[in-house]
Amino acid sequence: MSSKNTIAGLANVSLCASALDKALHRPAHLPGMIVMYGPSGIGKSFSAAYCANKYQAYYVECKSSWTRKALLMAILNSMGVMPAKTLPEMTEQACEQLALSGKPLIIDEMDHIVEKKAVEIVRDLYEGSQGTILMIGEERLPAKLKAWERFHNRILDWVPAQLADLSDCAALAHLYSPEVKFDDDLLIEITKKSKGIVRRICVNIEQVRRVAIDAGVAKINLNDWGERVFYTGEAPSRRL
Amino acid sequence: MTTAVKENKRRPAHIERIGGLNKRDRIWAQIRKQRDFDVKSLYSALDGISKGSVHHYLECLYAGGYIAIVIESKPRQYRLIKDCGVEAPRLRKDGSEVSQGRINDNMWRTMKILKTFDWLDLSRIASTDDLQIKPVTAKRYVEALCHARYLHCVGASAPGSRAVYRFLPHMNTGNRAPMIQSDRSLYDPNLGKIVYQRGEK
Repeated sequence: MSSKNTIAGLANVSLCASALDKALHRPAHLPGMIVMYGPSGIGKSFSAAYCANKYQAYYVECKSSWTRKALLMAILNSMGVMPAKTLPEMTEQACEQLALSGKPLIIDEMDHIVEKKAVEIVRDLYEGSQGTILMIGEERLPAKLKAWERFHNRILDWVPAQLADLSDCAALAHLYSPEVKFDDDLLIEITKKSKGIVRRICVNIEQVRRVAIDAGVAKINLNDWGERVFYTGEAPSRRL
Repeated sequence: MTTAVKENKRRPAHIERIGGLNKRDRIWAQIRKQRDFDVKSLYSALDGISKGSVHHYLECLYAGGYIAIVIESKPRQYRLIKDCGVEAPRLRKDGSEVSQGRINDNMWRTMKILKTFDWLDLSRIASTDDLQIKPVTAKRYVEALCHARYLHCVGASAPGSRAVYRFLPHMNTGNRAPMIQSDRSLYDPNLGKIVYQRGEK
């Protein structure tokens, strides 16, 4: 666990950062695109945020309505470049800035455009800049990308996001509840009940923190928590 | 020198920076346009920028290896050798990079990624191993942006819980972070204007 107050210690964040680091320092003959995929709520966007800040990357999040033009506009906006009028010009602008700055491009929620023509723009950008591009999406993203043969062999690394484990849970508790210490038995229970989903772990840590603060204690364990229920993301069962 | 050898055959795409430009942004844009230049050619193309500012920035760029001296004798001729795109390199006199502004940059970027957050989230997630952001810094920034209506407060603070904010998507004005100025007004470099002044409601 990192002693500093960053999310660098979380498993997915460090996986993602090291894959990106490797791509940025790759030898010239290797491809430069990376794909990170996994179910929602697992901390992919945390990883994206950390990597974007660490490498001062350009970041866009795709929307399902996006056309090729919308994608290019968003990318140019994230670069701070005044967009030209036509698609070919805009593509060239984005390639130019990617190549010159050497900064990576992060495309989040890639699922939204993977079945559309917009995905071809991503390939054009890569071909035109030979830059580093990180694509992030849901579990089935690799399968969908496979449909685009020319895409597929330009991928340097496929990074499956991991479910959060106990050490991730402890790191999150340390980050989000600096004033209340969590006992290990409680952390184990939270990890189990949250099924490794980072978003749920965060909610549970917040609940426990409130209970501890209301009780005026600086340390809390499973006994103190007692019969209270954890947030599991499931609809509540009826108790009569 | 033969005229046949032209170094930069490849014409750069026209990439032009959005928004208000400061002195160094404008000098850098002019350098990228001219490629081969001297102080005079820059100075005469730029309105309202002193020769001193041009000299000083060229010194930084030279030390950082972005430009080279082609002809040493006066007037010194320079050439752009490391073009890093539309963003003007932020450099000190010895050519090292200035990290000032990175804190705001990181928070601005992170807010757009997280969309819903509180100031503790922001200080943790926007921090990297070489740049720690204090919770109080994040709090001040979030509050300033909320005043300027970039953020919407979705849950007010209460004892034991922090206020939750949402980034308003239509307020994504660009890639450069709004900054709190010394008189505590908020300046948005993407729009090139002050978007909030203290006492405004």
